[in-house]
Amino acid sequence: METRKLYNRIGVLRREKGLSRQQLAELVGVNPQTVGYLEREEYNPSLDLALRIAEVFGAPVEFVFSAQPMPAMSAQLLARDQEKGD
Amino acid sequence: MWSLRTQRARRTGVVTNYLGVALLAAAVCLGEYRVWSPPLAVAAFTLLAIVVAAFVVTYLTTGIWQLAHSDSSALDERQLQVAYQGFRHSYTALAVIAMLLLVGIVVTVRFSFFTLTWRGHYAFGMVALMLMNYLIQTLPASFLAWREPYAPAESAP
Repeated sequence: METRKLYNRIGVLRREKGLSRQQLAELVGVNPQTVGYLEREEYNPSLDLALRIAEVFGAPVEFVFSAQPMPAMSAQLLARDQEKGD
Repeated sequence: MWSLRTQRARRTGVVTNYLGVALLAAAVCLGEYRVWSPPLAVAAFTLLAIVVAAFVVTYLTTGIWQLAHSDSSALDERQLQVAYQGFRHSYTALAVIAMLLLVGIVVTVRFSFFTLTWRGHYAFGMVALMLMNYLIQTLPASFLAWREPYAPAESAP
């Protein structure tokens, strides 16, 4: 079965949280190199790993992962604020 | 310690390793079946040194060997996936090699399905056994060295 590419915000969220790849890897129970593969979107995680990563960032899994290219977080927040303002 | 950092360098290492093993086997066969001359012995030892060096820098210092031979409980889901792919491809390759070897034995050992000798020598001798054993041990790591973009021991960019 052909698997589709998944996009994610792991790199941005990790840096925002001030975590190193090593620290994030320890928190989710994988090898640090696997975090690198995930950030470069060269590996699609299992549902379990995706949920564990989302839990570390305290965000819904769909905020961290997407089947579509992800817009910048600033653009997404701006659109949400505009929606609230309407 | 010096290690092969790029995929291209590791592929060169895999090719060098197997080429060295094949030439070493040829040198040993030549020495055993004809005569061990000093130049041949020097060539064999040089090839052995090349094989050992290629093995160390291609498999050991890159972490590929550990990835291919670690207990599955020590690997994460991505590592398990790539290790599984390595073993899967190795099994297919070994099945083809074993079949070709058996066909070769049947063809060279003329009209005989029972004896493994040809012109007084063992057709499937110690060298062939050692080669098969080496292949069985190294093929999974070779597939990983060939296919993995980054070596496990490196910190990926």
